Amino acid sequence: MAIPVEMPKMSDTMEEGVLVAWMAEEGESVSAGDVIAQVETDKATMDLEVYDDGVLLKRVIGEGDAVPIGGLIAILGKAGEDVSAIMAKYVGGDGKAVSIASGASAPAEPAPSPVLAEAPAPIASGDGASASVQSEPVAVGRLKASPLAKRIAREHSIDLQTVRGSGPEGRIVRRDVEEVMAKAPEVVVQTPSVASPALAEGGSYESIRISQMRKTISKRLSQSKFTAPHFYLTVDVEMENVITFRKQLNELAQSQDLGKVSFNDFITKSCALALRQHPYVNASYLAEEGEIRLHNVVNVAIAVAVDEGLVTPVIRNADQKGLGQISAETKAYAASARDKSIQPADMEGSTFTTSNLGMFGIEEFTAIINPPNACILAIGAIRETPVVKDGEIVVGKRMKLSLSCDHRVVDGATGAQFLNTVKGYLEDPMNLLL
Amino acid sequence: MAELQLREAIRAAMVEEMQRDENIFLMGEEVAEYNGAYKVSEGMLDMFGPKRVIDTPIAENGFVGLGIGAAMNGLRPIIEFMTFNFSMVAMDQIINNVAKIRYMSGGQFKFPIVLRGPNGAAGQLAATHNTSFESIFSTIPGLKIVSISNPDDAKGLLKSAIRDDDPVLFMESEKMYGMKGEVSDDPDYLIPIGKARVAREGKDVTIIGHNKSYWVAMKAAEMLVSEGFDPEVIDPRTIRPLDLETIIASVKKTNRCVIVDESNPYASVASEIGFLIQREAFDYLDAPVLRVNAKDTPAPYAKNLIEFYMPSAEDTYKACRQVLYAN
Amino acid sequence: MASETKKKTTKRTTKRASTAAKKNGVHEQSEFGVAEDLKVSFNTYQAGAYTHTELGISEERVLAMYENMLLQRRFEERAAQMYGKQKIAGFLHLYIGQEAISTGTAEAMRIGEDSVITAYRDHGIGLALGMDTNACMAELFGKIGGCSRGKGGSMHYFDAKLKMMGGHGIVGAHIPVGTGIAFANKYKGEDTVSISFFGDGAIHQGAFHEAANLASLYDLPAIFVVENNQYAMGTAVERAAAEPDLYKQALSYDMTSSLVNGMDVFSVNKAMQDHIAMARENKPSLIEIRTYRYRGHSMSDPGNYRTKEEMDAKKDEDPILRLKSYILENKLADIGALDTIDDNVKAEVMESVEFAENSPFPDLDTIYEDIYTQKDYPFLT
Repeated sequence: MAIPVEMPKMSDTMEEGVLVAWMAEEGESVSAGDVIAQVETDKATMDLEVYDDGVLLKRVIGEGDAVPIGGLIAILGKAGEDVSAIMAKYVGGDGKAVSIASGASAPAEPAPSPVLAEAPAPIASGDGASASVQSEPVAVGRLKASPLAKRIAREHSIDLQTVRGSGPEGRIVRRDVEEVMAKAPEVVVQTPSVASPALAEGGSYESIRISQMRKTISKRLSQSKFTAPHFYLTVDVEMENVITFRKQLNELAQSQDLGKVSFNDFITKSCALALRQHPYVNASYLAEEGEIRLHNVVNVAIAVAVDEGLVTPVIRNADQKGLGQISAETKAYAASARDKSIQPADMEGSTFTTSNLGMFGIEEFTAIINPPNACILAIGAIRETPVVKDGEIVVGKRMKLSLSCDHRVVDGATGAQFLNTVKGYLEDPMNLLL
Repeated sequence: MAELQLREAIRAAMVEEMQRDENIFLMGEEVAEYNGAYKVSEGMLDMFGPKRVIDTPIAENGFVGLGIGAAMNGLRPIIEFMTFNFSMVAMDQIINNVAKIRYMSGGQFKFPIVLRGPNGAAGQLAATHNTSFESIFSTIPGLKIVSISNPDDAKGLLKSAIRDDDPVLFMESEKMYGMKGEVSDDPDYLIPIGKARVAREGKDVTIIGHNKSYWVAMKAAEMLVSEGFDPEVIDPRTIRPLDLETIIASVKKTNRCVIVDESNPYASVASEIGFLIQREAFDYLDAPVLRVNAKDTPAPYAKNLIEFYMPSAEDTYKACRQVLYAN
Repeated sequence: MASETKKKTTKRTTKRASTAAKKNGVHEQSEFGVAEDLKVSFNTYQAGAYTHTELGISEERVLAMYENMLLQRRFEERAAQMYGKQKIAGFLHLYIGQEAISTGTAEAMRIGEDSVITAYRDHGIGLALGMDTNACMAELFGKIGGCSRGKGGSMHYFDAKLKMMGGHGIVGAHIPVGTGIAFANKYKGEDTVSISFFGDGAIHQGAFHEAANLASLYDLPAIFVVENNQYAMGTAVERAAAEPDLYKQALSYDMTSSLVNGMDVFSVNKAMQDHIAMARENKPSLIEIRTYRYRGHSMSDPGNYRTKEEMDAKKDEDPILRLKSYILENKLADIGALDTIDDNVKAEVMESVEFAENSPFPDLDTIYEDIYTQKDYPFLT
């Protein structure tokens, strides 16, 4: 009996995967655990393992094709076995980019939830690959919303995923969307069809496929920016003490053959301790559950730039870890992010995020909150600046920290107190050791 | 303005039009010497004589066909069905002849004929005497279907129907013949066929009802108002052509709609209106369009059953609360 | 005014008594006050019983009648060919063999004032009344130049100017309509009549009986003509009628009836003259014309229900051959003149085929035309 190989769910936010490369040929014998392909998810490129022994009867999709979770990728079985029944089960004729709704024979994977496109399913016309790539992002699970609610949400760029439905069976109705709008300040409303400037015709351009990562960045940050009412607080931190302290610490580390601690590690640790003291900053606004969740753990995510965008590995229980450990973990994550070996699990479960552009000489910037966090800290460069000290103008070392806060959770005073705590740790870094 | 019973308003429309135009005559069972089974044509025989107010044998196929031939040959007949239940015997004449001959002749003939009478349930009359026929007839291109709910509309629309050069099925109700209301006495009081009436303006939910169902809609609206809701009530008045514009404008405003319709539910007037709303106002709907129809059964005789069978204000009110997510 | 109605009731009672007396000769009445021995009185119009001079038809008109019958014949023969060439689709019911009825009737009518309504075998009467041959052929072709703008087809010929009221597809359904046309004739105070043709199948429809009752009840200028061509589709009269003498149906409706040989155009004409005269005095009546259709019920009918012998015998009675013989015997024209008529008719029919071929198909927009008189009717899309 032939066995379908479906697109597995490889991360919590993954909705579809792009088959980057086939690692096995049709007709090749494979065993459970063999990698037959590499799949690019929204977060990383992952190996696709098979869970059964057999011959790779058919590679259903081509390299570069995107398939929703549950979509048919390949078929295993005995040599020469008929695959048409399985192909037919995955509805779309050619079996491409189509997930099976239900009633499939025991899938090779624990059955993932069926994926239904909220927007009309892309119609594979001509070249299947490009049609798939251009497909609309799909929602995980069937999102129920009244047509009116959908229209209002569309007009106000509200992600219905973030709206809790109060109608029958959780249907999102007008009042639910309006409730969200009432809480959110009026964000810039753009009606894409009307406002989008026409693309210059006839100009030469290079077309770059939107990667899964870019799609995820686009979706999650749009959702954050347009649903979480952001406000920003900036503080200027005296860095002299940290500089001195770091120097001493690194000398010590060097003597013990340990890695250097970066300024960023100090900031991570400072934030972690401050988060303990300011639970509303270490929180999430969960509209669907109708609650604000105050996290008991302090997991600080660190934005790491990679070629295609950025990833946010998480330093778990950062408040309980020493600077050395934080430093080591951060370095390891940065390396694995760059060589794409980082695992989705490494990037899950953050309660707070920092983003550092200091190395590019950026003095000050604001960042978009990484949902479901309540805040993100944007770290600027340490700069020399004239300061007045004991009545004299001297050269001071200063660094600007800007906190973006989700006003649904964090009020101005809360954010300011948190930021001052962080500032306190950095200006008096010995406290970090307590 | 005068206060008239619905039957008197219908009679006034016929009398005024017959006085205006010699080519109009009234024909039907018991319309002349008996003075009308429901006294709609009372006194008209004395007024116009047997040439123009004509009793027929019980032969609907025959006298409806006769009316069609008379219309084809220059007259403007008003044919009364004692009830529309009996129009079934003349279905062939209505569907195959009056609706289609103009088309099949390439437009050479016109059919200024009104087929009128009470329609729908009228109590414990059992299945053959309690059917609402708007939906069945309204599927047929070539016909116009008017179904009225009050004396003033009855007069204004019947006068328009009589003056219309197309065949009009004009549906009344035994239950409403005694209903009184202010009626215009303007001899040229014409309500255009194909225009709905917004009976109550509101913003929360659109309730649509014609003929007796209009009153069900109004009662449900009252119940909703007492709870602080602001329903809009529309009487389409004409089923074919339907005033879609008014309905869609209302639904776009209220985002919700409940249709009360005494037709049996399958392929009913409510079905069609519901379909059109979802097509024309899809992005404005905050809830599915609901309908309150007669049950999907023949009409029963027993008192409790026929009451259960009919669309009720209570059911309509509940449907409204459902689309208002107020449950 | 109400008294007028009462008067009518009295009148009817009188009428019934008098006609019963007239019809029965013997006047026996039971305790119920009705005659027990009902004998049906009817007039007969046999073949060969009339000359054109007796009927007041000029020689010129006889030749015109011959030409008209021949036109119907050649038109339908050509239509059958065009059906085979798939220029014509759907139903095509041919009248071939029955032309004496249409021509004999038309000759007795005031065309354009008196009206005719018939069933789906309608080409013959349409052409007899003078409908445009081109428009008739174009209608079969489904072209915009057709008499019904390509919307009716073979079964639905109409010509309002000629008071050709159709061409109707549902068996018997048009008979009450014909009665209503008569009602309007009388209502408007005209002395015009309405002739309703139908077949031996249609007489069993309730519509006929309701219409006949209404016509008699209201004393309408209506003539009901049953063209008994022996077969209702494929069912012989005897197999469909409990009483195969169809003219007897008039008895129930207190109407005069006649039995006519439909293979002789003069017999038909005479019967029509008499019945039209009655109708002009608001006396409705029934005529049974016995005729024969040489073709199947429709193009798809092989006619297996009748024998070759029967067909051959009937062909000897062909109404066109009969009139041709009459003309030659009475020296109204020589064979050369008749051949010229035939040539002219053939040319006219060929021209109609050409016209139909060249007439465009209706624009798609016309689908929404001719339904309502209302110009801006909002059709659902």
